[in-house]
Amino acid sequence: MKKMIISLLEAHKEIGSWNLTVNREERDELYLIFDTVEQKRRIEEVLYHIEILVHKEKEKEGKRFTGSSSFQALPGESESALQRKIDDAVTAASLALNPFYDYDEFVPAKEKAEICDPLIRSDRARAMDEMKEKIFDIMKANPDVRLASSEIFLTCIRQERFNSKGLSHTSDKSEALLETVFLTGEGEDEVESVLTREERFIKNIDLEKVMQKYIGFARDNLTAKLPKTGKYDVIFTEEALDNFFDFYISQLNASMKYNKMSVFSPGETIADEFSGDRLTLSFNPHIPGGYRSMDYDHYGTLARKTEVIENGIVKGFSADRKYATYLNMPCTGSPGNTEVRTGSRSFKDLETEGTYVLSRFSTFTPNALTGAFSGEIRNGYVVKNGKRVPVKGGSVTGMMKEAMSRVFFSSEEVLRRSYKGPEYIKVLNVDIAGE
Amino acid sequence: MEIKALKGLLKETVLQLEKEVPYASAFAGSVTGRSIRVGTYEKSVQFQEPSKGVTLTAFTGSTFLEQSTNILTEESIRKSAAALLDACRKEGITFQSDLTPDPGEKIEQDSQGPMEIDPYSIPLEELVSRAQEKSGSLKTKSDKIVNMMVVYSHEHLNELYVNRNKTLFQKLNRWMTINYATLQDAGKNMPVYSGDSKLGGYELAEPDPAEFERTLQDGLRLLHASRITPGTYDCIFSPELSGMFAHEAFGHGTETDMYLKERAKGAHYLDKKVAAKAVQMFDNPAYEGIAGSFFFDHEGKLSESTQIIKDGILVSGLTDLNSAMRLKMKRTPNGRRESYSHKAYARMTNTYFQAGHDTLEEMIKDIKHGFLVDHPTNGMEDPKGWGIQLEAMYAREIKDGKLTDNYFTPIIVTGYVPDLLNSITMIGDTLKISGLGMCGKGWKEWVKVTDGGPYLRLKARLA
Repeated sequence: MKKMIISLLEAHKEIGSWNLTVNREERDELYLIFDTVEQKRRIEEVLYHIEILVHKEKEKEGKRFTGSSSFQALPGESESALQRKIDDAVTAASLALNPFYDYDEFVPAKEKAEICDPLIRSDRARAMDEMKEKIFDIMKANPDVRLASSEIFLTCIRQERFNSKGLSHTSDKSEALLETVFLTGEGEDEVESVLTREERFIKNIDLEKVMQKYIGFARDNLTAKLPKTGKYDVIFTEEALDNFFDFYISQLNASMKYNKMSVFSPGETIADEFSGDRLTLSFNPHIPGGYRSMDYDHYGTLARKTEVIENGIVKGFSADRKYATYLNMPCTGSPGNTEVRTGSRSFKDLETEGTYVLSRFSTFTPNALTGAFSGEIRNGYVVKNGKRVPVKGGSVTGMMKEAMSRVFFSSEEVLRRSYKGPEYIKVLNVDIAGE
Repeated sequence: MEIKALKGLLKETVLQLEKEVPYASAFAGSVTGRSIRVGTYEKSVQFQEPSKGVTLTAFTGSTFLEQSTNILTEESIRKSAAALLDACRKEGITFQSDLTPDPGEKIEQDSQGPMEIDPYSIPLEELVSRAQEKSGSLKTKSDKIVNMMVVYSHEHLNELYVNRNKTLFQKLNRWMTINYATLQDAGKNMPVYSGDSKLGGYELAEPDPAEFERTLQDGLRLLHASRITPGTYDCIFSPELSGMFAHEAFGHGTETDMYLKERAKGAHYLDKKVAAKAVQMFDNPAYEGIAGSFFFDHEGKLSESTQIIKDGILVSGLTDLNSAMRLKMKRTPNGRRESYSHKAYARMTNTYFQAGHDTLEEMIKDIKHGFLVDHPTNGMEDPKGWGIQLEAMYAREIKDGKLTDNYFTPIIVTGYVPDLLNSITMIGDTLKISGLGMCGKGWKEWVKVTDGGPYLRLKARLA
């Protein structure tokens, strides 16, 4: 079918450039309630994703314009149905003309991103069984805690990419998703802790370590108290790290700049003043097992590492081919994994008296436009008289630009999904609302 | 092959599977649609990624097994059925179990949701040009708007459910309009949006224009608003925030698959008081024209209203097939999938607090110091701990029974759900349902939902 699609795209006179991605996905899912299998599912899908670019010249304005449109084709579609979809896409693209851009010319990749777990590729049933058995073994060693439910999804995707600039590239990627819920306590006082991890490699979930940690969170919740309202030094770790830098990631994307939604420019500082560590942030598409590791981006641009913030100063924007052309700035390709430079202090140095260490929130996603952040605390502790006193409930709030002016990054490093950087981030003087 | 045309083949496949397993069913679904986005600097027309496929379900006597594919040829579906049967044999099949999924009454039904003007009948050029004109004209409303985006989106769902007794087909059409503005002043951004989504077509393209005006004026005030002093206050929740409160507080907490996993505190509170006496709460997929409505759920249960809280008492959960069977609870129309390739869970549909008898003026007049909290942006549930997080764009101060012009942003509401529900003292007289929401189970499995309510007066912790 891909040959038919490519020949139809090549034959269409109004299409300037095209891009075809074929995803063949196989996924196995296991659902457990306590130690009983509730459901097993197997999914097999083939999807053809097509994008076309239409280039037009408007004589009156003496300028070139590009319209894009994308659609998906499903297995078994007839040639006439595909032709209709392509014609519709051309009409749609011609009605949505923006400034001119094009895909990048093909450049062979020197190395391949390591994004496929060999066991998920070769034997998902065995991988699933091994994970299940390991979960049961760990639970046996923790009899005061019960496993309420588990969901394990193992996915293997073979992706083939072709475009009109000569790109022809095949890669395999895998996904391992685990959601496990632990219960401890009794009756109405029973409490839970919810572990969710999604990684390219099973080994990156580090089942033993992460389960022990979340089993500990469940136990902590039995005695956890509401924090006291006030301003405190807070260490963010675990789940809070996944989206911690979203404000800067969004604001330093050229699409935001082009649409006038970014408040930053190169050479500016990311905070009004600095009394702690200064942030250095890069996008790295070459981290083995990184969720945003890739060989080429959507525009056929060879993936490469890009530093956007250096020592608290905006160095540049992450600009894919489209927005780099619009803004006449260097093309960096689409952003890869977020890589943040670690600091010089260890967690032990940062965990001082009175500090709150917060691991889990109901959600923690700083606003991409304003930098405001807030989260209801699900797990954490405060250091009181040298002891760790569990807390939960209440909330933490703040603004990212203010937080980055008084922040310390740990020397310990962690890789979580598409984040590689300090395992602990300490922000001074943060608002906590509790009792 | 079109979804409706699969009726015969899926019926035959289900009956074939049931020669070896106690229960089998099939669900097939497709989604198509278009999305037109016109901003100040960019525009796009995209065709929604079509999802089209089938899931075959078999119950072994103890476990549900499913096989999904998007290759809709007869050969592929028969191959999937054979693979599913093979997996059942490996798992072990028993007819001796006391667990039997209820196939329901015999029924064959074809249903179609409302739609006056088919969006596909409108030339694409007209849609783009309408969005472009609107984006341009809304942008002139303030020089603080740096980007004004108008989104028109329509989607069309065809869904087929088959078991030994039922053959159900539904066609649902949804329209969505969003007006999204980015305001900017002195290096600060403030995003604001208004819009709606309902069952229907192009006739819904222009939701209440006053709503954007109100949102814009609120946003302009918030550009330089400060943070609130954290504390517990007398509050009035707007209808939109009441809706999110209903959804997060006792919507998720009454999804009975969570009872099965012992993850919902609500299981201990059935037939017990959880809210002030005046509080009535419903989940109703039969609510006419609302975006989360349908004729049957993805496990073949016909739509009807479920009262969750009656006179402050928790009276019912929301069930899917598996949890209703295992817990021996009444089946409610809440077995829903993100798409054919996802598992069915117990999920909400249109969840709302019923209106009461109080006007907003009456609710405000004896508040000495408090806040009107409006424009919800995000929320999260905690069915086990009954904690809650609601995020809103602003809180407007109320002093000595009057609304002031003091605004605070952003706002996070946290607390213990029964404390909040029991603190409700007044309930507004008008129910408003917001259609723009989507809902995840935890952090995945997204389905279309709506939520709503009237103004509510209660005590809440704000930060």
